[in-house]
Amino acid sequence: MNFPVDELEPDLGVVRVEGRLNMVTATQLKDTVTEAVGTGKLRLVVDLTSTTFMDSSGLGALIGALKTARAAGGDLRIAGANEQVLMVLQLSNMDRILRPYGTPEAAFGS
Amino acid sequence: MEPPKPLSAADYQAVIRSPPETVNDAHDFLDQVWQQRTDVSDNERMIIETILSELVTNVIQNNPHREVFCDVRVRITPQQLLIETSDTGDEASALRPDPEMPEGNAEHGRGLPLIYLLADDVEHRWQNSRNLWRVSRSRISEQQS
Repeated sequence: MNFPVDELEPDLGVVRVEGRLNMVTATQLKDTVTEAVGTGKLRLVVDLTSTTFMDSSGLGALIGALKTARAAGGDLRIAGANEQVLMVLQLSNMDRILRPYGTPEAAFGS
Repeated sequence: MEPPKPLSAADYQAVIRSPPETVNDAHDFLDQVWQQRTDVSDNERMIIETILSELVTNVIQNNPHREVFCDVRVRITPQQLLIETSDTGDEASALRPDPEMPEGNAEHGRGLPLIYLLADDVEHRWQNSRNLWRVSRSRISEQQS
């Protein structure tokens, strides 16, 4: 089952990840993004406001999703990360590639 | 998975059997430990949870086609946080001390580097056909900050 995707604009979707983003849900995120990109959502925000935990498997899924969006000519950004998610992003130096935004609306400046 | 069993006032343990259990059972185990240990700070909790999630994920990912048992033990003392796992999976490949983070596009390979960055000491040994991991972190700096 995919994560819910809300439409902010015709080409801009918000993927809402609830609970833990780990090896159990990594494929779910990648499938959600692949499907969203396939339906024309080339700009995506992964909203982590309700994400309670992320480990390296979840981070790997975000990187895979970013690659999927960019390969289609789009982009993927993240928003609403909690302290634990920010810790994993910073320790892995991925906060420079997946810059965390405060809200989905701020991620693409809309 | 059964509820956490306190070995003593400072020790908690569980057994994760995968399949059918997953890394989520390790998280659920910690959630129950936190209910008993309100003295553990939010920062310490996220460190322990991240380390344990990486350890258990590695066990499950390294043994994709068979049942594996992973004994988990968390020891919390005023001086130290200790996470130990003992699993029946294949022997983990030889480890380099202080493994490096992979390059930015890589989707795998960050688990072990994360553990090393979060811990003060990481030990692995193969004994009696089990992988034994012992990961510790001092609480002294946490208490002083």
